[in-house]
Amino acid sequence: MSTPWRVSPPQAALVGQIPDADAVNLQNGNAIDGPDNTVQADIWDGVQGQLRQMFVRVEAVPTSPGTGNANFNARKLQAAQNTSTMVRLNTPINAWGDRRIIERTYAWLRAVGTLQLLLVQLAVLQLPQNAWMQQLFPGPNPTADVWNRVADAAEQGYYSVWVNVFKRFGVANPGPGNNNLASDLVTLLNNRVAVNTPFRYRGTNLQNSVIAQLPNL
Amino acid sequence: MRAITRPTNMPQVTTPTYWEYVRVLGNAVGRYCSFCERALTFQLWLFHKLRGPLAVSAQIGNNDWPNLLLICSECAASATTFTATTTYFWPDSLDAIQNPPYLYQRIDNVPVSWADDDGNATNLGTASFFLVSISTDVPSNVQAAAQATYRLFRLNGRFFNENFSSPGYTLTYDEYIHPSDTRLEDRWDAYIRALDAAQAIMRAFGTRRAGDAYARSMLAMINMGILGYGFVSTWESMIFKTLSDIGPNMMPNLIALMTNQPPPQQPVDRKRAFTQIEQGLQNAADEERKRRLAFNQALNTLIQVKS
Repeated sequence: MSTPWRVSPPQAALVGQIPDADAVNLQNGNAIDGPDNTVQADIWDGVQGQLRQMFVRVEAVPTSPGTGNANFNARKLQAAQNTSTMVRLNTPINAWGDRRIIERTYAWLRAVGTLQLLLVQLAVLQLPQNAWMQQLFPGPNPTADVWNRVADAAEQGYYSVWVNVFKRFGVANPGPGNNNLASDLVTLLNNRVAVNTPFRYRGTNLQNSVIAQLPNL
Repeated sequence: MRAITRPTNMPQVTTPTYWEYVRVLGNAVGRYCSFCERALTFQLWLFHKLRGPLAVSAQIGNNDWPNLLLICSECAASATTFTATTTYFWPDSLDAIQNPPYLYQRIDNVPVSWADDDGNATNLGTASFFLVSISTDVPSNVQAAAQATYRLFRLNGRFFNENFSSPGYTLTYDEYIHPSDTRLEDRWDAYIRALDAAQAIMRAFGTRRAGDAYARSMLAMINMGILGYGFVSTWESMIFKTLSDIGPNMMPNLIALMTNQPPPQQPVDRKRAFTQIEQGLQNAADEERKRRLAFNQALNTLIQVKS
C-alpha cells in the first residue's frame, strides 16, 4: 500500500510515547498479552537506564508525505486518516476478538529481537577467524543463512512494522553496519518473491511508497 | 500435535468473559491452535473438551479451566461431529508427551481439482503437501483416540480424500473461489521454511570449531520463526529428519548444543526428539536473551563507572 503510514513506537498507556531509541532498544522483550489491546513487555527506559515492565501498543499513525506541496500533503494525510478510520486500524472491535493492535505490537518486539540476533550473527561473521565460514559449507553462505532467518520472521506479516524497526534502529544507532539495515531487509523481502509461493510479500510497490525514501535501496 | 502443559493453578481472570479466558489461556500456553498448531494472530477461539467449540456468548467459569483449549476458526469449523462421549486425543494429556501419535510426511504430486454439485471435476494440477498421519508405534488406545481427533478436526483439511496411498484434494466450487480452509497450504509454507532452517542448522554445526556463538544464535533465530509461524511439529519433524538422515550423532549433538548438556548417550528417537527440540530451542533462545541482558548490564555499569 503506497500510503504514508508510519508505525509509532510502542506507546505506553500512561507514560506517553516512547522515544525511538528506547522503542528499538535491543533488550526489549518478554512480552505477553496485557489488558485493553496492550502487550505487557519489558521496555528500555532511557531516563532511568533500565528495563521497565510496561503496557504498550504500536499504533499505525497516518502521516503527511512531507513533500513541498502543502495541498498534496493535506489531501494525502486526510486520505490516510480516512482509510485508517474505515478499517479501524487503531480502534478494533473487541467483541470480534480483533487482535490486530496486539499482534502489531508483538511484531514490533519480534522485529527488535530478530534484529538483535542478526547483529550478533553479523558481528561473529565479521571476525577474521570466521572468514572461512563463508566458503566452507554448501548452500547459501552464512550471511545469507542469517538474513533468510530474518526474512522468515518478517514474512509473518506487519511489513511496515519491520521496516520501521530496522529503519529507526539505524537512525538511533548510526554506524557503518546499521545504516542499510532497512534497505537490506526490503531488498531481501522483494527478492524472495521469486520463490513460487503466495506467502511472500508479492507485489510490494517499491517505487511509490515510503520505502523509496530509504537510503541506498 | 504440540504437547501442551497447562499451569495447574489458573492465572487470575479479571472478568469472566470469553475474551478474558482467551487472553489468560493464550498467555499460559501460547497462542497457537491446539490441533493444527497454526499461530493465532487475528482471532483466537475457545474449545471445551466436554462441550466442543464454544460460542462467544458461552457461559464459562473457572471450573472450566482444565477443559479449555485454544482453537483456530478452521479447526473449529471442521469440528461439526463432536460428541462428549467419544474418546479423543488431547494435546494436554500425558500421552501427548509420552506417546505423541502424529507423524508428518511430505507427499508430492497430489492431484488437486474442484468439483461442482453434480460431481463434475475440473483439474487444477498437482500440489505437494505435508500431511499428518497416525503412527503405529504408540499404544492402540492412543492410536484410536488420535484417529478420532484427526477425523473431528480434519487435520489434513476438509478437502483431502483421506486416502494416503492415492491422495487427492478436491475443493468445492465455493472453496475454490473463497478459500476458507488453508491449513494445508499454511503447513506447507512452514515446511518449506523448516527445510531451509534445518539445512541452516547443518551448516551452522560446521562452524562450531570456531566456537558455539554462531550456531546458538542461529537456533535462537529459528526459534523466533517458529514462535511466529506455529506448526511447531512441522519444524521439529524437518529438523529431526534432516539431521537424522545425516547420521545418528547429529541429533544428540544438537540437543547438547541447545541445552548446554553433554550429548545423550543413547540414540534420539522420534518420541523424545519432539519435546527435546521444542524445549531445546526455547532454552537456546532464553540463554541468548540472558547473555544479551548480562552483556548490556555489564556495559551500562562500565559506562556509569567511566562517567
